[in-house]
Amino acid sequence: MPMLAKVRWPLAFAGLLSPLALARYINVINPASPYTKDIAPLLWVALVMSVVVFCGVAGTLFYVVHRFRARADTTGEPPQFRDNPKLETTLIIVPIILVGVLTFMTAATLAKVSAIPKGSLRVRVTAHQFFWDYRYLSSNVRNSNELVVPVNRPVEIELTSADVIHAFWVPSLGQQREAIPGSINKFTITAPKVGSYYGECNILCGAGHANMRFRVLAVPQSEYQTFIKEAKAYAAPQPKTAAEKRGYKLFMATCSACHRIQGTSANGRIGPDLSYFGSRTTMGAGVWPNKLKYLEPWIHDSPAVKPGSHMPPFTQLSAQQVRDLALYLESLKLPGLNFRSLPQI
Amino acid sequence: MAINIPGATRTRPGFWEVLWDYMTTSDHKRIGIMYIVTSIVGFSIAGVFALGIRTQLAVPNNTFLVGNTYNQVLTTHGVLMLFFFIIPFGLVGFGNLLLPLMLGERDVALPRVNNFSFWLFFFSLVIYCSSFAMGGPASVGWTFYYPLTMQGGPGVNAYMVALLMNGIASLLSAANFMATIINLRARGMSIWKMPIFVWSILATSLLQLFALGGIAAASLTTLMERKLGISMFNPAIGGVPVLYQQFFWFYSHPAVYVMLLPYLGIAGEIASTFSRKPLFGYRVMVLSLLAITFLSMLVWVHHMFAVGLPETWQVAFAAATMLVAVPTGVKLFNLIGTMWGGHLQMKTPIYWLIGFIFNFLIGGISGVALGLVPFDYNVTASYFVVAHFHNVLMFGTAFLVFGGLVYWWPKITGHMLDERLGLWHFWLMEIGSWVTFLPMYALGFLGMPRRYYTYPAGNYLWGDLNMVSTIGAFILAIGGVVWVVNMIRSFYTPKVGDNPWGGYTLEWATTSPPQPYNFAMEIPSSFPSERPLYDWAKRGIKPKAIDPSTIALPQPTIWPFITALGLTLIGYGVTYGWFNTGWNADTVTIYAGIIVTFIGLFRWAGTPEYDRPVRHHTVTGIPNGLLGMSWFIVSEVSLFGILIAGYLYLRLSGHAVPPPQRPEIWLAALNTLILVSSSFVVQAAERDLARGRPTRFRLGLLITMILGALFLTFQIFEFTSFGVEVNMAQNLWASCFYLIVGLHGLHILIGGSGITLSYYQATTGKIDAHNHGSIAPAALYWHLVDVVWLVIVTLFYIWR
Repeated sequence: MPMLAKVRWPLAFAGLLSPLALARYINVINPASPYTKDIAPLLWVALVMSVVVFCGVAGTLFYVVHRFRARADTTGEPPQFRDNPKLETTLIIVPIILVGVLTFMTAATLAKVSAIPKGSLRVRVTAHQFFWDYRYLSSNVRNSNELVVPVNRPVEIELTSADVIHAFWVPSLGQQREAIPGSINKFTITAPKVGSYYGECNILCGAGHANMRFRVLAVPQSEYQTFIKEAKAYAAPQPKTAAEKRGYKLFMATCSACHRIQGTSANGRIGPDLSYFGSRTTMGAGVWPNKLKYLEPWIHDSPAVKPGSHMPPFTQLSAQQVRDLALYLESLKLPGLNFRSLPQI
Repeated sequence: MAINIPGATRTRPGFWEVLWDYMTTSDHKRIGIMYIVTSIVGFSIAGVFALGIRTQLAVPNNTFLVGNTYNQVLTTHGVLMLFFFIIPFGLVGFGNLLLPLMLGERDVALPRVNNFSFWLFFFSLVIYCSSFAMGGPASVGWTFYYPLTMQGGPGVNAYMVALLMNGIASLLSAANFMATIINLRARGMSIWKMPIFVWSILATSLLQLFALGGIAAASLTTLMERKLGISMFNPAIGGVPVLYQQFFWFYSHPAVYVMLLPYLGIAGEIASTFSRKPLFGYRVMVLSLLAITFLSMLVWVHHMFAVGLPETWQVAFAAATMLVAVPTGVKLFNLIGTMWGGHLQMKTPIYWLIGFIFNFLIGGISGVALGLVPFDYNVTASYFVVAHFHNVLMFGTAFLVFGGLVYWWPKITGHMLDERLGLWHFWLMEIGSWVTFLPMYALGFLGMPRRYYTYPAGNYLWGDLNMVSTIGAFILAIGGVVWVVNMIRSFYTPKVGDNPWGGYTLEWATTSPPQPYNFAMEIPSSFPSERPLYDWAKRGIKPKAIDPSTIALPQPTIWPFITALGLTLIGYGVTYGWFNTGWNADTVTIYAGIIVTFIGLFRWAGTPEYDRPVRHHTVTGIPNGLLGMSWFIVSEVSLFGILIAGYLYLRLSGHAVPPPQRPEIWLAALNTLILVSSSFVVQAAERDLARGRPTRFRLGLLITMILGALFLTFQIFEFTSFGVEVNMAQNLWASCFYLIVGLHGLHILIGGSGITLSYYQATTGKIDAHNHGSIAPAALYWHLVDVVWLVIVTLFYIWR
C-alpha cells in the first residue's frame, strides 16, 4: 500500500494525460515546422515586448487604483495638474520605437517566408463547395481532399477556387491563403515530419463550411515517388467480387457524370476525383475515417450527413446497392501504399 | 412640443400618446433615448443568439444549430451587435443625448433630420429582423464576402437594404453632429474647451463621413448584382472578387474605430469626474483622437493579408496598423494619468473604466500581434481573431457602454442605479468575459477556425476549451439579467439631485431629467477650461435664470417619420421584388413607398420648423442646413470616389475593356451642357432670392427642374439604346458604366427632388427674404451632382 501511495499522483496524472496523448495536437506555432522556425525571432521579440508593455501598464493601473482610491478620511481636492509634457512625449516616442522595430522585423520575416525556394514541388489546389481538388503540375496526377507530399521538401501551392472564396489552412504547417475564383495565390508549405496533417477551409463558404476539411499526408521521399509512379500509371483495378461488379456497373450508370475514376469511362469533374478512393484515410472532405459505416450513409443521403453537400441524395438505391457501391469504391487502391498508419498531427 | 412647467400637475400619458410623441419629436434627448433603447434591444437579441452559438459549440459534433441555420444565427449575431448595438449606442445614442447638453444648446443643428435618421435606423432593424419570417435571414456572415452572397435567398437582399438605410441614417446623424459642433456651442466655448466626449463624437462623425462610402459601395454593388446581374467582381466577365473586399474593409476597419472613439470620450469623462481631476493631457488626447481617425483609414488591408496582395502593400499596411497602436496607447496612458494622484471615487462607473483599460490593453496587444503579417497568416480567421475582437469590443468598449449608462443614468431618468447590483453586473461581466473569450485565444493557437458550427472530438483540448467558453457565455447572460433588473428597479427608487456624481460638464448644470428646452438659464460665457462647472464654482460664477416660456423649440411633426416609412416600404419592395416585375405585392409596395416618401417630404418641407419666427445664434453664421449638407456631401464624394477608384483599377489593370460600341459622346456633351447650365441657373436663382426678386427666383428653380428632367430623359434614352447593343451583365465595362452612371442618375433624381421641394416652398409662401427654406442645401447638392457628372463624362465618355 505505501508503494501505491507513492506512485498515486504520477499515475493519476498519466491517466489524465493519456487521452490527450492520443489526441490530434494541432498547433499554429508548431515548433517543429520550418515556417515557425522562420518567424520565431519575430514572435519572441513581440512576446517580450507584449509582456513588458502588459506588465508595465497593468501594473501602473493597479498601483493607481490601490494608491489613489478615496478613503473614508480623504478630504479636500486632489492636485489639479493637467499634463506632464516630458512624460507624454516619452510615452509617444517609446511605442513608436517599439512598433518601428516590429515593422522592420515583419518586413524582413515576410520576405523570408514569401520566397519560393527552387526545386519546390508545384501543386495546383482548387477549392470547391465543399471539397479540395489537387493536381501535381509536373506529373499531372490528380487527387482530392488528401494531398500527398514528400516530407521536408517545400511544396508550392497554387491556390484557386471553382466557386466562392475559401481559404487553405494547415495550422501546424503555418501559412494560410484565400482561394479566390479567377486568380491564383502562390505560397509554400513544408512538412517537417512524416504524418497526416489536419487542414481546414477557413473562409465562410456556405452551409458545408465546417465540413470542408482535408489532410496533408507527408510521406518519405521514396514513398512519395512510389505514389506518383503508381498514380500516373494507375488504371482502376477490375472489380473482383460479385458485389464489386454490381457496384462498378451502378457507379458507371449513376455516379460517373460527376466523379472521375482513372482508367474507366467515369470522367466527371463536378465532384471529387475518386480514382484511388480505397487508399484514402478519410472521406467526406476529411470529416470521417474512410470506413463503410460512414461511406454508406453518405452515398444514401449525402446532404443529411453533411448539410449543404451538393451531392444529391440517392435514397432510391436499396441498402444492397449502396453496399455494392461502397465496396467497389473501397476496392480502388493504389498498390503498395498504405497511408492509414501515418501518425496524426 | 408642450413645455412642462415644473410643479404643474399632469396626468400620466397613455401609450398611444407617448408613441405619437416619440414619432413626432425633434428633442435630441428623446431621440437619444430611442437609439439607446433600440440598441439595448439589438444587444439582447444578438446576445441570445450568442448563447445559441455557444450552446451549439459546447460539445463536439453537436446538432443544436447546424449548417445554414448556424450561419444565419452567426450572421445575425454579428450584424446586430455591430450595426444595431455597439455603433449606434455610442455615436447616436450617447451622442444625441449629450451633445447639445454638453455644448449648452437646446438641440442639434437639424432636429427634424435627426428624427428622420432615427426612424430610418429603426426601420432598417425591422427590415433585417423581419427577414426571419420572410425567407430566412442572410447566412453569409456579417462580412458578406463576394461571391458567396450570390447564393441563397432574399435574406441577403434584406441585409443589403438594411445596411444602406442604416448607412444613410448614420451619415445624416454624422453630418448633423458636425454641424452641431461647429455651429452650436455656448458663447465662449472654443473648440479647445469642449468636453472630450464632444471631441470623440466629432472624430467619429468625421470617420463615418469619410469612410462609410466603402460599405455603401459594397452593399450597393452586391444588391445590384443580385437584382440586375451587373458586377464589378464577377470573374466570369473579368471582374475581381478581391475588389469587393477592398470596398468592404475600407469602411469596416474604420468602423472598428467608430465603435471605439465615442467610448474613449466616455472613458475620459468618467476618469475625470471620478478622479476629481481634470483630464491628463487634454490636448494630446484630442490630437490622438484625430490621429486615430486619420490612421484608421489607412489600415484596412490588414484584414486581407491572406488574400495574397503584393508584399510591399502588406508591409505598408502592417506598419500603419501598428502605428495606430501609438495614439490608442496614448489614450490608455492618459486615462491612467488622469487617475494618478486623484481621489478615486470607487463607484460602478470607474470599475467599468478600470475593467476597460485592463481588458483593452490585452486586446490591443493581440491586435498588434495580428499586424505581424507572417503570424497573421497562422491565425487569421481563427479563434485567435474571434478572441481579439471580442476582447476589444465586448469586454473592451461595451464595458464603457455600461459605464457610460451608469454614469448618465441619473441624468436620463433622475434615478440612480443600485451600486450593489451594479458591482454584481460588473464582476459577472468581467469574469464571464474572461471565461468566455480568453480560452478562444488558446483555441486559435490550437488551430480552431472561426465560423465552424461543428468540430470533431479528439482534437487536443478543443472540446474542453469550448465547454469552458460556453459556461462563460452563460455567466455573461446572468450579468445581462442583473443589468436589466437594475435598470427596471431604479425607477422605483427615490429621485436624486441634478448632479449626484459631481460632474464637471454642462449637462450636470440642468435638471435631471432635463426639460425639453435643456437649460432654464443663460449659460455664462466664461470657459477657462473643458470643466465649466468646476471653474464656475471656483470663480463664483452663477448662471442667471431665465423664464422657460420665452424659449422657442421646434414644433413636433410627423412628416420625417412618414418619409422614413415611405423609404422603408421601398426597401421592402426592393428586398423581395423589383420595379418591373408586373403588378404584384412587391411592385405595389415600391410604388406606394415612393408616393408615401414624396408626401412625407413635401409635407415636411411645407411645415415650418418653428411655429413662430425665431432668431438663432450660430457660431459661424452659416445656416445649419447648409453646413449639414456640406458635411453630408463629403460622404457622397467618398461613395463615388470609392466606386470610381474601383472602376479605374479595373480599367487600368486591363480587366474592364470598353466594348467597341460606346455610348454616344454627342449625347453626353449635350447632357453636360444641360447640367452645367442648370447649375448656373440655380446659382442665379439663389442670388435673385437674396436680392428680393421672388418671381425670378421661382422661375430659376422651374428652369432647373426642367433641365434636370431633360437630362434624365436623355440618359434613359441612352441607357436603353446602349443596352440593346451590349449586355450589361456580360461585359465588365458596361457593368461599371451602368452602376456608376446609373447611381449618378439616381442622384439627379434626389437632387432634382430637393430643388422641387424648394420650388414648392417658394410657391406656397414658405420662402421669403428672411426665411430661405431648404434652397441653400438643395442648391449645394445640385452643384455636387454637376461636379460628379463632369468626372463621369471624363472617365466614361471622353476616355476612349
